[in-house]
Amino acid sequence: MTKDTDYTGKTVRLKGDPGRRGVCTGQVRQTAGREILQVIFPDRMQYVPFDQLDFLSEQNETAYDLLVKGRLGNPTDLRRILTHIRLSGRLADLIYSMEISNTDFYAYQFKPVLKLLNSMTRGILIADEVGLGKTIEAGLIWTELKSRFDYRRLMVLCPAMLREKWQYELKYRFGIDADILNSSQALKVLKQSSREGLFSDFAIICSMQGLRGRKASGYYGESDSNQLSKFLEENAEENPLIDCLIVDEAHYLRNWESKTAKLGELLRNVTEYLIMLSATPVHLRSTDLYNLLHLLDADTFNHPSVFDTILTANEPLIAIRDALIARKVSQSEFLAALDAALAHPLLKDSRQLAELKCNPPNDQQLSDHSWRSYLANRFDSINILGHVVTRSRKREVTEWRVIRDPVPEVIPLNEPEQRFYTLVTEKVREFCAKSNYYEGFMLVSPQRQMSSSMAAALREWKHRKLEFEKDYLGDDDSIYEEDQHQKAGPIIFELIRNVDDFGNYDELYQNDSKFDRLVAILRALFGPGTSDKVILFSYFRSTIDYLAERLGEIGIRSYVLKGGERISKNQVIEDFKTSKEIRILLSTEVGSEGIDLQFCRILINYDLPWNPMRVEQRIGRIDRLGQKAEKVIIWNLFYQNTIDDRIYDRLYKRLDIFRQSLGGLEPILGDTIRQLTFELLSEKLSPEQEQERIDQKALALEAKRNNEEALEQEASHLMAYGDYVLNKVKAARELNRWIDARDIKSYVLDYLRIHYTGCEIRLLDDKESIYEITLTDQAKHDLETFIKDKKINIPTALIRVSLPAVRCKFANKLFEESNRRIELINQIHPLVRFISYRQENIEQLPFPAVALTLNSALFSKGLYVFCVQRWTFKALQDIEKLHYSAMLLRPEEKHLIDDDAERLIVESTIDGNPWFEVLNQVNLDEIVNAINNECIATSDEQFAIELKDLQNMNYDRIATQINTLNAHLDNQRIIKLEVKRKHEELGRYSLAKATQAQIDALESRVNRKIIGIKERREIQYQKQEVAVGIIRVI
Amino acid sequence: MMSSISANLLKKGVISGSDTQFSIANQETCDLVIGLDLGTSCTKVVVQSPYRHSGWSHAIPLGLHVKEIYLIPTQLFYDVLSGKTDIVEFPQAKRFQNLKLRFIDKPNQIVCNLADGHSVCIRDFSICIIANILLKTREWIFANCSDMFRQYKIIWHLNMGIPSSNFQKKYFNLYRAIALAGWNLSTSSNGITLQNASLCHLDECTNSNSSIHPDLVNIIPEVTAEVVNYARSESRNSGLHVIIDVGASTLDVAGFELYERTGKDNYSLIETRVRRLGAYRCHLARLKAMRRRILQGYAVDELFSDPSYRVNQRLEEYLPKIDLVDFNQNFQFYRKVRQCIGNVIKSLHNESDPLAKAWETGLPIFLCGGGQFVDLYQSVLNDIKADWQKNSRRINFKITRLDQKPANFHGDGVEFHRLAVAHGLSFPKEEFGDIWPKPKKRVIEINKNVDDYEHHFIRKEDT
Repeated sequence: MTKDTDYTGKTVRLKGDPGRRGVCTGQVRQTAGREILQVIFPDRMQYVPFDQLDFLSEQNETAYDLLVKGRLGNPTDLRRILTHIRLSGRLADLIYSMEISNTDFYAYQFKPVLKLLNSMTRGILIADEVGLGKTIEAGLIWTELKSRFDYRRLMVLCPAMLREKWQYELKYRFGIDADILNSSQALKVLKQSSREGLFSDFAIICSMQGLRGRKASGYYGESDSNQLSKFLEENAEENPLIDCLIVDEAHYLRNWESKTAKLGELLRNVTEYLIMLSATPVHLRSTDLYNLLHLLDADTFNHPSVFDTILTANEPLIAIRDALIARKVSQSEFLAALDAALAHPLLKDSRQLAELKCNPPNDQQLSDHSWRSYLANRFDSINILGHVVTRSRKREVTEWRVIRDPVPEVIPLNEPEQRFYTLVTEKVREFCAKSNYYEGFMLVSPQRQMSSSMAAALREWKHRKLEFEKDYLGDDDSIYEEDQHQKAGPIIFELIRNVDDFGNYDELYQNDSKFDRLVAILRALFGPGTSDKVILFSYFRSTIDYLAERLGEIGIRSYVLKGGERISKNQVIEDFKTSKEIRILLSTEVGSEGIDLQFCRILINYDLPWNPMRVEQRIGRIDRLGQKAEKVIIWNLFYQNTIDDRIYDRLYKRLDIFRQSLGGLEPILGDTIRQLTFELLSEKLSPEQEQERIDQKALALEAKRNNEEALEQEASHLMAYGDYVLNKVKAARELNRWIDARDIKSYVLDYLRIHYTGCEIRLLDDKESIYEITLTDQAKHDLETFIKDKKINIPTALIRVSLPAVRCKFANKLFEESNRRIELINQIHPLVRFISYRQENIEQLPFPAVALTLNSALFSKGLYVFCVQRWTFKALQDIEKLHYSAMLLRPEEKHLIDDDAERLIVESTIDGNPWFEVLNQVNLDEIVNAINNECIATSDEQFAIELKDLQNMNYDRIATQINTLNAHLDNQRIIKLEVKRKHEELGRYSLAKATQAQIDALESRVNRKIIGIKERREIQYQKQEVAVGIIRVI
Repeated sequence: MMSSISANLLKKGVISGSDTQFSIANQETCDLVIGLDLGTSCTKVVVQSPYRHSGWSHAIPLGLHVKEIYLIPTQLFYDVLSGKTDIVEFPQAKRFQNLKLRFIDKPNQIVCNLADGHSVCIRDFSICIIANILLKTREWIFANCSDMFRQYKIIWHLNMGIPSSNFQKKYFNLYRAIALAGWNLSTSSNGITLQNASLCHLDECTNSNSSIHPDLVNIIPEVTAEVVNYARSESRNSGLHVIIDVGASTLDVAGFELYERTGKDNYSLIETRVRRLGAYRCHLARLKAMRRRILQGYAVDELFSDPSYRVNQRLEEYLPKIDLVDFNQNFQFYRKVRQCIGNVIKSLHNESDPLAKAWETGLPIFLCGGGQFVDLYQSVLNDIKADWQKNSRRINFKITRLDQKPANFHGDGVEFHRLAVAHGLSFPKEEFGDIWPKPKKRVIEINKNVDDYEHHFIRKEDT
């Protein structure tokens, strides 16, 4: 160093701690005959002797250069660079939505996320069974899209009764404040989206009923929903207005001619990504499924026969895939399957298959399980259907281990009850025989009401009779009959008229054997030392009211959940959940859908619906994901020797509906049950005859179930090899392929300390990672400018002038209820996005060479070397990946497989310790050679293979996309030419001209899209070492 | 008899423990800072590599002969015949204790005469103890850290702690001189003897031939060393602070300001008090007081004269004689501690720094030192806090402990707070920035009653 040299602004690095980089301020001192320079490091300012510093040139050294020079860093340096890449890039193997939402982790819930990201369709049908959390899966997809692509425009379309539930789930699981809008409000939002484009920002929930178009003009006028439809139609070929549309209960769209389906089509045309949720089972030959897939991707699924085409084309691929999964396969078998696939017109041009044929795996590779798994996945990626539908079933979900324990409580009728039951049943049958009604529901209602609670039923009928008499004192029987007929239904009206003949309320009240039994059960459940909560269902409000009163009289307080009340469902449930005194919730069927009661494990069916689907809905409230108990108890109360008894015994037990879910039976049960109930009530059957009828139905249903199961198997065959995807999710979790609080903290604080020195950053709570942060004026200005330019809608107090310091917590969660005065800094916070935007060029970051020791249970003791490369591909899809390569050097030489290499390196970033003695304990030349000739060479080889695969996939996808676009253009041209012709025929020449203009515009747009796609044919790629190092496992 | 450490050194080619380098062939350098905390009852040593190895630091286990290996009794064993010294007992050796307090009081007091007629004073004993510790510290480093450092030329630094109340020029120079003398003696091939110590001319210790550059020998107030980790941490505040260091023998209370200027930290000591009110003294005082209390409950004079005198049947019956609440309220030692701490805070508030922002935002008060966990001191602080807040709601205290072990510190089996000062001393001097001793007089008067304000202003008519 010379006296005259000015080191202000020079970047330096500690020789002995190369991960520590700083900038010289220019201040120099003399101490003990040495020059001491003042350097700003990320964590603090420090004075460092000149001879302890390396001055860095403009050209960034590679990690390999550092290794050769013996400038070895520590695990923190490794973690830092990996964190920067994760947060700045868009890594293909990272799941950005993992661990960020307020949900428990279940691997299967991430299957749709991975499938969608690998799909070309930009849409997916999630057809999981009831209770598996489709809402959460959709939310995770949205979170992923938001993180990766900065999407901001979300719409949820659902049945009206589910809007509040969606609002609640989005808020409390994903931190999204979504508005429930009607059609005119939705129209306003979409118009704004049209104007603002990608900078628009909204989350809205709309009902299918509210948005679908009505009859236009004439008597009803130009309705809001029609205007919306018109607007959507006009924007069909423009830029998307919605980034992600979630359609819940998508089976409502299955009828192609319905207005709801039409609405779905209109929305699809203005949406980037479509997610459909439906519990409908997946049958390949089901038109319902086809209709939904047509909505998802009209150009690919453009004809019902497409399934047959896909099935035929994929048959050999599926066969070989299954073989690969199940056993070792010979090369000749493999090649034969490829030839069969390539023979089909749909796959004849597939480069991926051609490549596999040119370079088939050898027998050794085919005997390796992980290779075979990889190949199976390759075949799945070619299969179109595999990536547009995902289905998880309860039996496949290993986390789902709840056992259902049904307990039948058969209650003998006492004398007053028997009398009442007989009288009412006879009256009902008499009426049915006379009136010839085929409305099963109307007949069932009084029968069931009586079976539910005789005293409550009688009370209600008497009460209604009083109401009628009060309102209608006149003698005009015709008016009386007609009006009340409309109100009560004929059978109820009949019962009300004769109610005085049926019995005495007080007598039934005093002799309510079912109620007595209930009380005995509750007293046992609520005994000393117990804390379980109970949910009791009844179909009838009158029963619920009656039970609430009677239980209250004996000191058992309850919450009541029924429709039409002022307090919301969610509030009642929240109160019930948190109450320490009240342990029973009485609910009508309104509580059997859309609410979560996993905190209960005891359910009482006070009356038994005759439709098993209803029973399944009820049980599904407690038997769902999140249920911590191993067993749920389902108490079923019914009167002995009644129709209930027989249905329970012959139908339900046979179908075992209390122990297992109905699966594929659900949609078809409704009709069957209606028919059965009418037969049981309308004909005077003996108990044995009743039993026989029920048995017949049970047999038929069983056969149907078996058939459904077979169809399910066939469908699941064609869908992607779910286990591979599931394993990828589990591996992602295990390998920490997600962002955590520590990552974000070091990312943000390092950047602020280097680039905006003067920011005040004070730690308040180390455990919770809470800091007090005051940005410099420059930082505030830059951040505010960024927020305005990018129109980011997430507020931050960090830019506010008035606040001296802001309390911030680094946590990669979207939402935290507890601390509203502390700003949450997560991966989508404006500050993180700002830094990511600024640090696009990560060449500024040091790529370290590190040495560390590791105490590991997973890896054998020895000396390892490793290399991490970053691969970037710009193709139809931009892909970024980190590739890990590692090798055991001592005591024997052995390469690690990729996942193990990653595991070792990730474990090192978490549990590794610096290895200070390394330079005296290893031969550096040997290490350098090993890393260069083995690790880097291996990575380079893998890169070449990946590139080749990607080139083939890219080519195939481009070909498919171009074909799809051309097909779309042809279809639309045909339609519009027909329209034009009609206009010309009718002399509407200006309209014909306008239609021609539309055709021209469409052709131009499609051609431009094709040009853009073709430009992506050649892949641009880059690879670089981002870290190398030595690990001693001790 | 050669120690096992020396034997190891021989294996590695280092000739003796008095050597200061692994090898003289290397040109790349590595700084090693020795932080030496000479306590009243025990001495602690920590060494740090501040610019390499991610700031690696390690406590030196020189107390292998005692229970706590990192806490070396501050005592010296010496032979009056040969003048030989060691910190470990050897045959025929006498023991010299209470070095620190005696050194502060009377460094030149003659302790004994050696067989050869040499008179040796406390200063010489101090030099010998420092020399022995430094010798053994280097021996340990050479034996245990060879793979980390042997390829470097070591540049040594030595920082020694001084009580904050002694952070004045006269003591500063004396401490520095004996530190340098101790180093030189430890590197001499003549052995660490009292005679050799007495021959050290302190004013010649800035000799440039020493294997440590004099600029790299520094004396740092113990309270500053205690808080340097805090000052470097993310939770640091600037402004007024109070630190209460509870040692074995002494209670060191200091009020200081910490602020940053031109990239450097500045510590300005404002108020300091050192009293013999440390944890051991507390313990003794409690034992005495308890004994008095127990006896008070019994008229032992009548024991043999009164036949009706009833003795306790069981041991437990003695304990209720002490009313703990009453005991604490009347415990004189407690009052003294409270007075000591309370006076510092009062002085800071009323005279030295009444305008400090910390009074409103929360005055950081650090309770540290080996005796910090004796509940009496925490109780005193709680009482003082309650009293202040009773009188003024605006005043707020934030009482914290400085016991968080830094990530790069190594030294298992000991509570970090015992080594906090030594660890703080192991940072290079530049980390401390500038340390300003307590000024002679710093009183800020605030005129609370402003009855007549007119004369504070210039009226329009006067212009």
